[in-house]
Amino acid sequence: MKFRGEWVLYLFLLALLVVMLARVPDFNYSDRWLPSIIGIPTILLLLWGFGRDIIKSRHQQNKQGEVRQQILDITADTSIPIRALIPRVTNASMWVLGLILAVWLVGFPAGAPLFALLYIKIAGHEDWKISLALTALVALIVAGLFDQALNMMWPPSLLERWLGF
Amino acid sequence: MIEALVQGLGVILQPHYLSFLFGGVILGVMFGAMPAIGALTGVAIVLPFVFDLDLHTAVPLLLGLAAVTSTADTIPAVFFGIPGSAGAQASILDGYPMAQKGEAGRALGAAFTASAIGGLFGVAFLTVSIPVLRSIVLAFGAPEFFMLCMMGVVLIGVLSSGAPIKGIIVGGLGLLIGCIGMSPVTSELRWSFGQIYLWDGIHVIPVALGIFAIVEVVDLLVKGTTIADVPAEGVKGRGVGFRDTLKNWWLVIRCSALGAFVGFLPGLGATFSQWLVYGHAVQSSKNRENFGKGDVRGVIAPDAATNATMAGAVVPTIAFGIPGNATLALLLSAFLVAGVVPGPEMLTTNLDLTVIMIWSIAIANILAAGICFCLVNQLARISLVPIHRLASIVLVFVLIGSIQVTHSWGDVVVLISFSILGWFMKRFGWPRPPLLIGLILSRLSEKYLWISIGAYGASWLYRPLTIVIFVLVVAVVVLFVRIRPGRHGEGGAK
Repeated sequence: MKFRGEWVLYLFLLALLVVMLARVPDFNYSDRWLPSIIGIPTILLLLWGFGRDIIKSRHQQNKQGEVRQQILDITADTSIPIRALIPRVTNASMWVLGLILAVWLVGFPAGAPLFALLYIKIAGHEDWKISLALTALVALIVAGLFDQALNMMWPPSLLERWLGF
Repeated sequence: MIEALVQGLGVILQPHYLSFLFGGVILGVMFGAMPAIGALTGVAIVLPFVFDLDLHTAVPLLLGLAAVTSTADTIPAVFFGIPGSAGAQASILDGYPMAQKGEAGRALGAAFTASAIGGLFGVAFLTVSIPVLRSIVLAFGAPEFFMLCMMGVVLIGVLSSGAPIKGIIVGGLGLLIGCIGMSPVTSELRWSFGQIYLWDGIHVIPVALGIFAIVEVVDLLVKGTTIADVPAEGVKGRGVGFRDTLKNWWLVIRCSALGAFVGFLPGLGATFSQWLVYGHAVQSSKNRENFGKGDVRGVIAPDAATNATMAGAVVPTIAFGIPGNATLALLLSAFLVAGVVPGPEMLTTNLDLTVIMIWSIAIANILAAGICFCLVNQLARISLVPIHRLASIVLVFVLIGSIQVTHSWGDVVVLISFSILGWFMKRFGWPRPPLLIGLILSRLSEKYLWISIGAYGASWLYRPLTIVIFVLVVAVVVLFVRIRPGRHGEGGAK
C-alpha cells in the first residue's frame, strides 16, 4: 500500500471535524441542532470515503497526480511533474506571502507598489521601463483609487504601530 | 409584472446604473477572455468592492460581469484551443478547427450572435417563470426552505465533480464553517477559540478569494509564460458567422431552451448544458460528419446554451435562495449582507430588484456581443500578456478585496488558510464550489431549521413538501453515489 498525498487532506479534514464536533455538546441546546445534523453525517462520510480510498489503493495503484474531471470547478493541470511542481508552487507562494508581509510591515499604500516593483523586476525579469510603469499603475490603484478616492480603511501596519499612529 | 418590467427598464437605463452595468460587462469580457479567471474568480475579486454600494447599483455590476464571461470565453477557445472557462469546452471541438482553417472570424461571429440570442432567451425564461414561481414559492414554509437549502448543498456537492461523496463532505464542511461565531439564535459563541475576529464568523469573501483567486493565480504563476502560448491570427468573416446563426435559428432556440432549463436545476450549469446541447446538435443534424472538424453548428449550439444557462440559474437563486451555480452563490452573499433574503420577498416586495436583474442580464448580453464583435483581436491579446504582469495587479486586488470585509488582519489569515486548503482540494480533485455554497447557506439554513422546530416541533418532518424534497435529496445522492463511480471511477480520473 503506497501512501497518497490526498490522505493528508483527508486527515486534516478529519482532525478539523473532530475538533469542531468535540465542542458541540458544550453549546446551548438549540445551537447544537445544525452542527449535529450536518457534522455527524459529514464525519461519517469522511471516514467512509477515507476507508474506501485506503482499501482501493491496496488493489489498484493510482497514477501520480491523477485528478478527477471537475464539472463546476477548474481542473488542476497535472502535466507538470510533482518534482518540478513543488519548487514552482513554493516560489509562487513565497511571492504571495511576500506581498502580505510587505503590506503588514509598511502598509498597503507603500507595500503593494514595493511588491509590484520587486516582483516584476526580479521574478518577471522585466526591464526598468516596464517595471516602473507597472509599479506606478499599482501605486495609482492603491494610493489614488482606494486610499484617496474611496477612503479605504487599511488595517494598521507594524511600522505605523511602532511610530504610534 | 409588465408594469414592474417597464419601471425596471426606466431605472436601469439611468446613466448611474447603466455605467455600472457597462463596467461589469467590460470586466466580464476581460475575465472571460483570460483563461483560468472566468466568472467565478472575477465575481470573487469584484464582490468585496461592491458591498458599500446599494444593491440596485451592485447587482447590474455583478450580473453584468457574470452574465457575459460565457460570451468572451469563446475567444481563447477558438484562437488557442483553451477554454476561457469550464463552460467553453465544447466550443473548442469545432471552434478551434475552424480557426485552424482560417475561419476564426466566422466561428466567433456565430458564437457571439448565438450567445446574445441565448442570453435573451434565458431572460425570457426567467421573466415568464416569475408569475408561475410566485404561487409556488408562497406555498413553501421554513421547513421546506430548510430542505431546499440542504438540497442545494447536496446537489452542487454531488454534481460538481466525479466524486460525489467528496462533494457532500465539502458542502457539509462549508455549512459547519458557516456556524463559526455568534449563533443567530441565542448569540452564543461557537468555535471562536477565544479569537475576537471569529465572533462575527468567517466571511465568504476571504474564503472565496482564497480557494479560487489565489489558487488560480498561483497555478498561472507556476505555469509561467503567458496564459496562451500561440499568437492569435486576425479575424475576418464575422458577418458570415452572424448570418450562420440566423440561418440556424431553430437550433439556437432549441439549445437556448435546453440551456435555460439546465440552469434552473441547481448544480448542473454551463459545463453540463454545453455538452448536452452539443450532443443534441449532433444527434438532430442530418449531415453530422463535419462535427468536430469545424462545423459552425458545433459553436452555435454550446454558446447559445451557456448564456441561457446563466439566466436560468437566476431563477432558483432568487425564488428559493438556492444558488444555481457558484457564481450566483457569491451574488447571493451580497444579497444576504444587504439584508435581502431570497424567497417570496424577491417576487413581491423586492420585485424591483428582480426586475433589475432581468434587465441587467438582457442588456449585458447585447452589450457583450457588441463589444466582442468590435474588440475581438484586442481581447485575444489579453491571453498573451505575460502572467507576472497580470499577477502583480491581480494579487494586490485580491489582498485589498479580502481585507475590505472587516479591515482586519484576520481576513488575511483566513485568505491564506483557505488558499492552502483550496490548492490541495484542486490538486486532488476535491470540488471547491460546495464549500462556498455551504458557507453561504449556513446561516439561512440554521434560521429555517430553528423556525421549523420552534413552530412545528418534530412534525415539521412530516409535512408533505418536506418529505418530497427529502426523498429527492436522498434519491439524487443514491443515484450519483451508485452510478457515477461505475462510470468515472470515484477514485480516479475519467
